[in-house]
Amino acid sequence: MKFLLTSVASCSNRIGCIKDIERLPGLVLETPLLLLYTKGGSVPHLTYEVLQMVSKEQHLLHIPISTVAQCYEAVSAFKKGIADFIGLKEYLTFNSIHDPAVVTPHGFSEMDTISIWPRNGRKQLDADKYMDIIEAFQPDMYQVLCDGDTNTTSSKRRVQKSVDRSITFFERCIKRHEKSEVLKNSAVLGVVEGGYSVGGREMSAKYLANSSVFGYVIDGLHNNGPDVEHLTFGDVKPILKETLKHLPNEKFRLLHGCWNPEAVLNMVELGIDAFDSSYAYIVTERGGALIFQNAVTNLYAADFTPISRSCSCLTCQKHTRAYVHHLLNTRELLGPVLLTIHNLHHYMEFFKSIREALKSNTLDNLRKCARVYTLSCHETLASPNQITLSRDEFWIKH
Amino acid sequence: MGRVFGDAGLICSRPKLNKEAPLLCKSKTYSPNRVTCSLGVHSLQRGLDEELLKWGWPEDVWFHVDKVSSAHVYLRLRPGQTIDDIPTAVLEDAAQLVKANSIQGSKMNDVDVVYTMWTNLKKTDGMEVGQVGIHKEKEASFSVRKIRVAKKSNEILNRLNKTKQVAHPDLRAEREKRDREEREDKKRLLREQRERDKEEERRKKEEAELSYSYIYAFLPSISPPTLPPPRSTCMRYSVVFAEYGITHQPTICGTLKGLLPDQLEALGCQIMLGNTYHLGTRPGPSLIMKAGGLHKFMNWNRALLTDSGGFQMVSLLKLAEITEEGVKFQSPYDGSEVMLTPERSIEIQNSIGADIIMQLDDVVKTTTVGPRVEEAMHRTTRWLDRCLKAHQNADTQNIFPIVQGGLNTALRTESAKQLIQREVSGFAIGGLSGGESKDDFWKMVHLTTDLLPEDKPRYLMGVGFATDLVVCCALGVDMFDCVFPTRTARFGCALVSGGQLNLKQKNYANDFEPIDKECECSTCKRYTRAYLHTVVTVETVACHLLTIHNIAYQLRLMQRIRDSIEQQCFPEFVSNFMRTTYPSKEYPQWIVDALAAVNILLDVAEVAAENSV
Repeated sequence: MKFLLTSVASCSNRIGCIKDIERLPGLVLETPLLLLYTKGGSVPHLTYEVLQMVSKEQHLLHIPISTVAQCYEAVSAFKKGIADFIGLKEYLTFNSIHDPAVVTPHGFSEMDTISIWPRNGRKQLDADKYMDIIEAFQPDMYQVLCDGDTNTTSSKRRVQKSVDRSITFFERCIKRHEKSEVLKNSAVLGVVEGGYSVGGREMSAKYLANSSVFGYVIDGLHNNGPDVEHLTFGDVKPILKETLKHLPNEKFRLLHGCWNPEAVLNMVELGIDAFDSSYAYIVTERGGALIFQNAVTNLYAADFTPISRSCSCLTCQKHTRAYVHHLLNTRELLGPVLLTIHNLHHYMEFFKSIREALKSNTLDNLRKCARVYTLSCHETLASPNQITLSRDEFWIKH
Repeated sequence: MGRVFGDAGLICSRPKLNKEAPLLCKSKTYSPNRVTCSLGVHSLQRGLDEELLKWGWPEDVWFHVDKVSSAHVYLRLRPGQTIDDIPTAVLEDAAQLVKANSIQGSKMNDVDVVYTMWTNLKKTDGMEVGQVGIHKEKEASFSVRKIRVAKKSNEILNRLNKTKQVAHPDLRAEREKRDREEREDKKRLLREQRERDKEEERRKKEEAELSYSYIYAFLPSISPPTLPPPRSTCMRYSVVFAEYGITHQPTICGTLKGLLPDQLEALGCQIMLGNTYHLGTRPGPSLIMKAGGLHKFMNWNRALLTDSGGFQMVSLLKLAEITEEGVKFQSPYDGSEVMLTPERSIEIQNSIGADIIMQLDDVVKTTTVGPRVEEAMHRTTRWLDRCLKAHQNADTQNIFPIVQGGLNTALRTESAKQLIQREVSGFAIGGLSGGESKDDFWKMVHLTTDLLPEDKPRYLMGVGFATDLVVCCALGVDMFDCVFPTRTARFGCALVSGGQLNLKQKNYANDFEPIDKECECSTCKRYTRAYLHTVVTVETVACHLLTIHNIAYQLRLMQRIRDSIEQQCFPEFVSNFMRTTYPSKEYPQWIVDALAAVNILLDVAEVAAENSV
């Protein structure tokens, strides 16, 4: 697998692609890239059949180990890896540790282990156990084990521990990786820790800069969960800049979490190559549709227009706000399905427009729109009557 | 500062036996039940009396010598015990103890000892230390008891003395611990009750949930069956043309539950059932009217059927009351009293705009007997006439009457005879599949289909197990509705020929086969049992995957039935089907009888022979 930064004339922006994938030759994934967030091995609410209705393209699936740890024994016995096991072998797979849509409890990191919370309760993973799982899953790409239990409020001591332990985990995982036969075609991502400490980031990044990894995950900025949406770019900008300064420019960089669209745009500009789609998931779970928030208000009960007139997704083409509202209101299983179709489609389109804007140097326009969008979200929550469609329609225009 | 007697636990303290106090002693005779007696001494240990008084438990019984001063003895009952449950031997122990610990009482004969529950004691600010009052003395339930001690019994006192132990009980902490435990206990009970209620509600909801089922049925402008009934069985085959497409019969329905209209069309679903009760409350008929009818509201271009809404009311709402006017019930939303009349039911169904609509019928529990069944049957006919009169869209919507009459042959015959005199395009068979024996069930179906006109479709309500479908098709039923395939999917079960797989079971954890190798559905083409095992009942995706498979399974079954009828080999099909379902050929008797009634003879010879031997 290769990551290449493509230089486009008259464009200084960071655009790239992942290609020469051993398992899926011919597949090219452009960056900035959206990883499809999965839970229990499926895109939430979508079967393969319905996923095909959202997008026929092949995507990179983001499979957090904490949501599929219960499959470990079965996948080991299956022998063909996680992609085949979950019935999505046409897709590229990436394994991370924690679920970005769920808050990771604080304070469970130990000297040699970190904790995950799969369905059957807390599970401690040391580097060896983690690599056992990875070897069984045979992902196309994965991150090494790390201690990312830091956020804006973490103490110096905690940050230092997270950096030190992550380095130890990295060494142990890489050792296993090099010896492993089944993982010889899998790309490894090193994990940069250091919380919000400049010194910690520098130490972690410098240590990893010389290693032979495929790319990096910038971790330790938050503890996951829906609240990440409220973090602003301003909160993380200095520390991200500091981190990226020490990392080689030509390698792939990934950031987890349900960041709001405006933060995503800014981070793209700073040089992050990939994000996961957990944002679309948390919006769906609270009954929101990207473009308009909180569909569960009476405002939409008698609105027979689509969620977005300009949207080409199946939900907007075939169903009305009133119907989606009714399904959510009566807790029909079809409600989250229709919302996921729209939100995921919308978010994929958002990434498409980011890539196009980067190529044509029009990111500023897109950012203006994203800012308006975020504003309208807040207005919506305060007073639903002020929503107008036109304000939110621009993502697709780009 | 105390001493305890023995291993059972009477708390006692007194200057005469011992200068220390309190003392806990255990009455041997009562030791299996662990009764605690406490004696607080009033002279030296007045403070202790006060303590015991203050931090006593509601389970404590207080003993004191009547009229003269004495120590206080406490006996702790076990939860659930009352003052009447104290064994005589223990009473004697306590009385002896209290007498021995009274300065005056110990010297007297024929002393009365009073005892009462601790909760009856009264201590007010004006009282002196050691003085105690009693509440509600006159109330029988709180009465103060008396026991007479004739004279000192050294035997008892020595025994108690032998078991004494020194104790320093922290009375306050013990009481607080007890109260805490009691509170937690109460909370736990409350929680359990709530969970039970929730479970009950969920179960009810599921039972009533048909909200978007779809039926494979046929529609109004009925064309006669394209093939004459082959041989002597009653099963039929016809193609019906409707405003919204063509449907074939015999047909079946399942529930939509989370599937897109596109997926249903791809599965070959032709008619869907909408639930009038649910649609009528949310989103409500006026909104559906505004949307241009249910077809447009949900973007479903094929046929639709709605029920009358009456069944859900009777089964969902305890308070439903049926009168000649209609079904009166309390709205679950605002508690107000609402009346569903035949006219209102049709009005709602008119605004929903389904192709087939149901009359409001008077539903009684299937197993009901007596005059109520007859009343319901006649009322159903009267309500049908009111429905037909109120109907606004006779050119686009078709009302089906519902044959009632419980399990009574005469009443069912009468019901069918009344209904066939009305001008309608099809009939429903109601009031079955509600807990009656299979033997009664098939006989009623057989009886009813014989009475209904050949050229009009018959819809059997609420039937959907695979064997029932096959048998009832043979008996001459054309359409069915059922939530079974989707409901069972929600519990993690997949339908396969011969039964169902519960994918939650551990033996599927390493089973890398599809649910059914023969099945062509999108689930079986891509997903393994092992993967489904890991997500079943957790992720909604698993429910969607199983729903698709189960509906595909039922549809395939109906397709096979139709094909075999078309090819004039239906009896062979039934025999084969039953052999697969019951490989040992031990067919349930009702199936054998029902099929024999329409001249399909199952190959039961050997089994029957064995049985007769």
